[in-house]
Amino acid sequence: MRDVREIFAEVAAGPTPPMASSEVMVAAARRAERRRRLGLTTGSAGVLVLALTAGVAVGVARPRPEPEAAAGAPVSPSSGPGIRDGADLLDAVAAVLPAELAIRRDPAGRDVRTRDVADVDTVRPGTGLAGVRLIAADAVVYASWGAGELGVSIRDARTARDPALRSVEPAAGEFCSRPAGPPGNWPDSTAAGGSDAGGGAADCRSLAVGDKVVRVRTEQVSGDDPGSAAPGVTCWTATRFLPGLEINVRWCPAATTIALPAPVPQALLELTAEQLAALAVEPVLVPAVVTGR
Amino acid sequence: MGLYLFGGGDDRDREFAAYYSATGARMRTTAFLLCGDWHLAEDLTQIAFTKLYRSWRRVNHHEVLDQYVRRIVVRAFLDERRRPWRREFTAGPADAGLDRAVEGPDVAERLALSAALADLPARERAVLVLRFWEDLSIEQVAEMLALPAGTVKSQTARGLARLRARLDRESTDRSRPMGEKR
Repeated sequence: MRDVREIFAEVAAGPTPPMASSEVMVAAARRAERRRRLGLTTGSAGVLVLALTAGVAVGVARPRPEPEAAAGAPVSPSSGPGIRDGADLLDAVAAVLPAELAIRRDPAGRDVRTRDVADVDTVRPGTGLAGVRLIAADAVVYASWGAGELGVSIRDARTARDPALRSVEPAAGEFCSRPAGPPGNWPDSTAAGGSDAGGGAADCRSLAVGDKVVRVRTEQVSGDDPGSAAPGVTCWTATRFLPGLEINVRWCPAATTIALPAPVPQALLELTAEQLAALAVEPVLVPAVVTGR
Repeated sequence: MGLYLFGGGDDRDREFAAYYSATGARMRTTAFLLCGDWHLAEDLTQIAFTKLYRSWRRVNHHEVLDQYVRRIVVRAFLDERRRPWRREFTAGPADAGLDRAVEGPDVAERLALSAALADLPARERAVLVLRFWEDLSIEQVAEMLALPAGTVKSQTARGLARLRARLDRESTDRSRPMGEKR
């Protein structure tokens, strides 16, 4: 057998994705430290206790795009407290969680477990995808006064070995009749519904948002969908494909677990398919150079 | 434990950035050899450097720093492997995420080697990477992984044997004419 050192050298010699710059690394480390100092504890009964006041958390939340950003308009930071849209919601949650944690609840409601979502920071308001490090991110939010879960997942669907497997944005008419699902098996987009094969009009439709077309699926959450909404509830997932990227925005009614620092408007908890699709078109992202991750 | 407050942060940030520039790529490669996924490797590296930033003032010798960061990378990797939800994300080939299709005669070989490494249990893989990529002694590996030296030796031997068996099998398969069954 060849020397193990040679093997390692050869494995490591392949093409590599770009690495975070030192500026980005410093920014990420500073932010993590700041968050740690803001404080977050987990109670002995497994209930998350956020040691925050509304003022602190809202102050930490980043500016987010105005609603028109979803239609591709230039984005300008907005100010003011409160949670007005999905981006605000994700912002508020990201601001109160330590960098490496997100919170999900066991479907049976028995316990709270943490889920490592180091990239939750990337789920931020932003203007587009340029510069975003391609990752799988999944931010899950439970709002205490209006049971709900909003998840955003960004899945890198590229593969070096077979370019044909890369996801591409299907034409409008192809969303619900594609012979096979996109590469990979991101659980949220296929949960309880299997693959996209033969997806019928009853649970799958396409919506135009600006010049983008977004697939929206309705799915029944089954009991074996861990850490997600309660079994039996209906969830909606809006999926957008970009070259090499699959973006899912998912909304489910869910049990409540943690308190957010500001009220969530009822309208947000009743996202329409159109609103969901708009979120998928303009995902809440900022370039990695800004977020540090 | 001293609490670092942000006074003098500019100096700290400059020093930290310089250290990251000098060693980050190497740490990421080590992380990649451990996990086989460049994006996860990036995450492991960032976890390690984020923790390092926290205690930057208290750890100021480069040899110690290297060891400290390496230890966090390895432990973060082993923690990752223990989390059941990791299974949710093991979609697509291990090298998914690279920007372009890779052409060239070495690709099949590299993929075979990667697959062989991926087959090793996480701890055996960590032992091999630390021993033969990072050139650490048995004692250093034992200290880093909190294992007895004898366990490191046995895991080294077992890991090498598995790797050998897997690569021998690969080699045999590839040299067999197409269509011929084993």
